[in-house]
Amino acid sequence: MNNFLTNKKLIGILVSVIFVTGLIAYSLNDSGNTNIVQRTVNDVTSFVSRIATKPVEATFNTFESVNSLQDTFQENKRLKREVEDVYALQARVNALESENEELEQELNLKNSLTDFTVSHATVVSRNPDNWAEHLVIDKGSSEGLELEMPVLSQDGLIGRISEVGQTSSKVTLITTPDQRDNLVSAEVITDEDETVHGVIESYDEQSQRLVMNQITSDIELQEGQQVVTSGLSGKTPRALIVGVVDEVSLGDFGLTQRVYIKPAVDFDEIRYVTIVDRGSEGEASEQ
Amino acid sequence: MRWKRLVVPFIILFALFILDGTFSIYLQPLMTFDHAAMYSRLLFIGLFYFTFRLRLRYSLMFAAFFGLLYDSYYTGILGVYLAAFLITVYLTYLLKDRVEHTILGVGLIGIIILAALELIIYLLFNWIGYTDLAIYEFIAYRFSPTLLYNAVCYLVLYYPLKRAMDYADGETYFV
Repeated sequence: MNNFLTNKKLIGILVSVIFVTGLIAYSLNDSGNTNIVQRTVNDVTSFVSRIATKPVEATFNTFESVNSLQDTFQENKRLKREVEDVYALQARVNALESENEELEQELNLKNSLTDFTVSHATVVSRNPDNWAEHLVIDKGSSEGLELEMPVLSQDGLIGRISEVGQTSSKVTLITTPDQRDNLVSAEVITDEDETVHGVIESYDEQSQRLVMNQITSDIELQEGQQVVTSGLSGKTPRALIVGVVDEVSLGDFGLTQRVYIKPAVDFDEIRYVTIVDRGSEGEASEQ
Repeated sequence: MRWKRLVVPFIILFALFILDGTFSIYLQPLMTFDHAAMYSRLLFIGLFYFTFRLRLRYSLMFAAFFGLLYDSYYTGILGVYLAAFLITVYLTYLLKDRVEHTILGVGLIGIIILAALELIIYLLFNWIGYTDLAIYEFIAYRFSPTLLYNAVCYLVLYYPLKRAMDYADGETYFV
């Protein structure tokens, strides 16, 4: 113990500190996909954890089915009421869709911002410490997944794909404070005809709400208004649900509004995800 | 058998590593509350226990390997867990002969080392800007609940780990 800091050890410690700092800097700076070694290692690990997920999932599902049996009656009553509304809505959606199609044909629109296809995946592991929130899902480039594709769960936006391997990929949640290239351009649906654009920049850990800034409009936003993606950035199509407006306050300089958004998704409970593909034609027409 | 002494811990550590990630899918909704959140550190419990049973060189090798794997697979930032695991395993080595080698004596050191691990990781993530949680918020919100939760996990895991290591060594050991 008393020769704890000999010269040799001191140099060793210094070298390791520099090495670790370098590693952190390297992984913070790399843009785009991570290197091939990391991707391969992650692919292999995700394969093992896919096997481990099965028995764990089965155990939890057993507990849950017992639990949910208790609320089934109440839930059933509520659902019956909701189903009636859904039928009415469905009819309306059908009518609107056909009308929209006709109008698009008339205007010669080939690809609109709302066109996309979806594929589904299962979450195989989740980062156990919550500092950087990542999920590993069981689909990769062999199923056509690409970087930066938006990911949904329970029909709300949860994040984007940040790493693609052969058979697995990593999803970075929008709650991750690392917002280097995680900005989501969104719009608020208001009662007036004008749409209000803004950018979702960060996540407030204390109140568990998303923060939207850079709002261009002077229209006063109200609580309860819906926030959806605007389709103006990257590979995100239009009209993916983000959440509802929870609080409106003034921004840093008091000139623009800052909106706190209550997310539509419970970020703690994500087991299955939906990956949205806007399609390659969409990109081509964009350019 | 010499290879058994390293293969058995390796398999167990890998299993704990995978279980950490799988459990968190299902346990996160149960373990996150309004003012507290618990996060499991099963892999760390394994690494910590094996430091008592293996030579320092091998413990550090495991710490480096699983630290890098953790960084690559879970957090995506290489270096954070590598550093944290190496430091905590070395700290464990320095402290391990200062207590009685019983489940409680070892557990006492475990709590101290786990506290160090949580702090190191918090400081590193704070430094690179992944969290803006103030330190007092961090202590109340996740530090203390996580310590409690993992103390329970340690008590559950202790005997299975001990039995596995006894099997690998071919002899029973006090710890």
